[in-house]
Amino acid sequence: MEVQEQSDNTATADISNSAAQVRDWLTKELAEELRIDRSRIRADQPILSFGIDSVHIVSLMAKLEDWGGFRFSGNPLEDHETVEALSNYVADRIRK
Amino acid sequence: MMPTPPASVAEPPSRSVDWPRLLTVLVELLLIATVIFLFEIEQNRHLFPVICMLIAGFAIHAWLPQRQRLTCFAALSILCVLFVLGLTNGLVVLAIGGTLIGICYLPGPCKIRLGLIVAAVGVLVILRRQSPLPFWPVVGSMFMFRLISFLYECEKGKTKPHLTWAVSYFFLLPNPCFPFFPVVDFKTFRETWNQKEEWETYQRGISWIVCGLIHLLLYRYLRTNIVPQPYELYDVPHILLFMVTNYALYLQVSGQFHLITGLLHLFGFHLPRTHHHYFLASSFSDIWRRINIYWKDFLSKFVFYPTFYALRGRQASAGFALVCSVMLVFLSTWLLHSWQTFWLLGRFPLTSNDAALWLGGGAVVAANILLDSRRRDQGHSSVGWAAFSLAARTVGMFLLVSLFWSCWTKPGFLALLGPAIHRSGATQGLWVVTLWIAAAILLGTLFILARKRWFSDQSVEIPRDFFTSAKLHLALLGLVIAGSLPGSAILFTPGLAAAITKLRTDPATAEVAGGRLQSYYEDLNSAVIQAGPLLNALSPSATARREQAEGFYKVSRPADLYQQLDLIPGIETEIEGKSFSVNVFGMRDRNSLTLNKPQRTIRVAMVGSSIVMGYGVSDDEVFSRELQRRLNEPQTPTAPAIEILNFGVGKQWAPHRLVRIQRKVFGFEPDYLFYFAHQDEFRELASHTAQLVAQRLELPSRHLQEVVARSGVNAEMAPGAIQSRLQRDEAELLLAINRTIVDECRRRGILPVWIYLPVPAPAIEDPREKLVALAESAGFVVCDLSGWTTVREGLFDATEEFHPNAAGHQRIADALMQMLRDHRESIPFPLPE
Repeated sequence: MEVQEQSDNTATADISNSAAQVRDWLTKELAEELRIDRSRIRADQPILSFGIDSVHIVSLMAKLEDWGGFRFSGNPLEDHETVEALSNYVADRIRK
Repeated sequence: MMPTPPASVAEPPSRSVDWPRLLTVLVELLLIATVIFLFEIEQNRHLFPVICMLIAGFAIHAWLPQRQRLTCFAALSILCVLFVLGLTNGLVVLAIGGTLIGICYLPGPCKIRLGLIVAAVGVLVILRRQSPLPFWPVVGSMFMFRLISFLYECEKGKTKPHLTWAVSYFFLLPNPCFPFFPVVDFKTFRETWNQKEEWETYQRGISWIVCGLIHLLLYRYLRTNIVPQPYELYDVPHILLFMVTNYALYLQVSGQFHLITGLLHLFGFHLPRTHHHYFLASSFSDIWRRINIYWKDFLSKFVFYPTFYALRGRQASAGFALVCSVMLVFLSTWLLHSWQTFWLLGRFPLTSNDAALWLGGGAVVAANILLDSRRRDQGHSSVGWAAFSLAARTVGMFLLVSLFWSCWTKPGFLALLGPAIHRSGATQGLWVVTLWIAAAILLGTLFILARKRWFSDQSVEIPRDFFTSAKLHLALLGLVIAGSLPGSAILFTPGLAAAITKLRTDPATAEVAGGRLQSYYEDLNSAVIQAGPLLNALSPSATARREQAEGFYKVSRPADLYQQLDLIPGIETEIEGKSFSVNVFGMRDRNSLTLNKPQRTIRVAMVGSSIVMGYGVSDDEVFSRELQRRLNEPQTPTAPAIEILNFGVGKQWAPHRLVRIQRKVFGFEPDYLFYFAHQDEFRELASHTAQLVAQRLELPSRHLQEVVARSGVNAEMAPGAIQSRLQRDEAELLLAINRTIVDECRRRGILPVWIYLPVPAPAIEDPREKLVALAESAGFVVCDLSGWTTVREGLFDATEEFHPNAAGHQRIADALMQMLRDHRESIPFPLPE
């Protein structure tokens, strides 16, 4: 039981770590795409509200796919609108 | 999967109405309604009575507690359907809509629901094709796209939305007035409801309504004053003006969409903007992002993203997936435009012209996107150069989109353009155009630099609180109302007062041009709203009024003071049982007529009264057509073709004809001008010239100016006094008009022929000798056809009728043929043997 709990905790920590990495990567790329300072990108703000358009979004998502080594099955921003939500989702995908 | 009740923002326990704010919004809305009434805005769509209903609805809605507001909105939407369409058609719309909504809520697997929806839509398509009933545009408008969005969200969500949401979304007010409606996304519709503080949302709604009204008035001004007529497209400046103003006519769509979304704000829907400074787009992809944003979002959601991620899932590169997705979006745009046209107008246009344009446009946008992505990697240029580059790209894009727009919305534009730019003098004014473009780029560069200097953050928006916004709206609306009231005309110059009066009249009520003359969006906007009896009684539409119009007024429309009226281009109707068609150039002539004269063709322009126009006979019976047939009877193979162009218009006299010749006739490069005069040749000479003088308008000829100067009249005198004094100089005025026509014809190598064609009427004094002398004195080749008939029997249908019947027109054609034979020397003409 204790071993199982420890294993769960390790997995959660891994996800958190990788979610932080994804968030970091995403913030940096988004700031570059938008040509703004990365400090202006809030993790809890919907990505589309930064004024990025569909073409640049798919380019960014394609980069994210290549970076993470996986493929989205549909538009990820429909269900994961913010940097935070998307990072968690991507970290989860990477772990799987 | 039980429906969930409508979500709403938590309401404070002791909520009370904010009366100062509510009254402020109501006053703003009343001023808006006044502007709509005074300027007859969207009168054909019955906007004024509907907005009055919505203002009352808004007051109730704002007064109600939060939890009841969505129900109130749904009820208002249903009421709007019944109010606009009447009980019978309204109930049919509600029944069809209710069935479709009911299928969406059926329990069971998604595939069954989808199958049933497809089957139901298939039945509706067949019914739409078979019976063009008046409610179809509204049904189509409500369901043709929204059903996709609604089903998608329903199937995606764990629970279905409450029925109130479905009713509100599909029967969305003011959709019954505007069948051409923005494609509102269901998710956005739901999420933006009560998203912001209510008064902020209401005030933003008012801002958008005001913005919409400005767009619609600008559209009206452009359409009635600036857009060149088809017969004016013979030089670069006019062609360019036609292109850019044709694109600018899109203001009608953006105006309507602002108005619609503004109204929805009044019921708590804080919807995003539908357009964003689309004239300032700097690339093809930019225009796609700025114009009709809801359409772009709809296609992104249902075509672009799914295609992109599906291709990526098949290991396609990002570039390839992007290009394919963009191309598919443009293909869908083309097909969905036809789908939209089918529901609104009952036809499904699929033309190779549209296919080439949309797919070509898609290829350009795809290439532009790829280039854009590379350009982003390039190093930074200087601020000045960047500003210049942006300004140049914006101006260039505006011109390119204008060209695209003209090709798309006016099929045949390129065919017209080719020969037009090869005409002699077509490039006149090219340097003026170049200067305008350079000036636009320079001003743009300065504006961008200034904006960068003072507003470093490009997305800056000046925040305004509720009352500051309200004050601005009230001041603007108050000014517009005050300026448009008849009493304020004394404050303006006569010209400005006349322009305001003209702006107040909805051009759609003064003209109903044929569909082929209009642009795509104007075409879609022509979907007829058949109002119910109650609404028709409150505000009869132009269509209803036109049905009551009789005779010549059915085919003519008011024009400026010089012309006073003109034929409605493109109209095809019947007058007293006789077919009456007007071509795109506003002439009772063939639709196949082109502005450019075909090679080996001799053109004769016939100018004259309603007799020349052919009032009272069918299109094919007019003597100009008969004469053309006879003149083209088998000749030698080398003989040129002869075209007789009919410029006749009823209720116009010599001064109007002079302007018609100057404005329209010369553009067709005629070789002969046949000017027809009757006994009434002196009519309106003094009164018309007096009006021009009183209005300080420039007289259309130097000869006329000299006569007026000699007569001693000026704009300071009372109009009656001017007319009275000019009445004494009628002969001088007519001579001046004749001389102007002859001078201008001779200068262009056109032979001016004056033909006297009196109507046999013993009671009317015959001024033949006087008129002939004036025509000869001016330098016309004079032909007197006084003997074309001496009797009326068989040639006129009634005793008091001045217009010959079909036999009369045959007789006139006989007389003209004889005239050409008798005047072989003075009128050299290749006559058939």
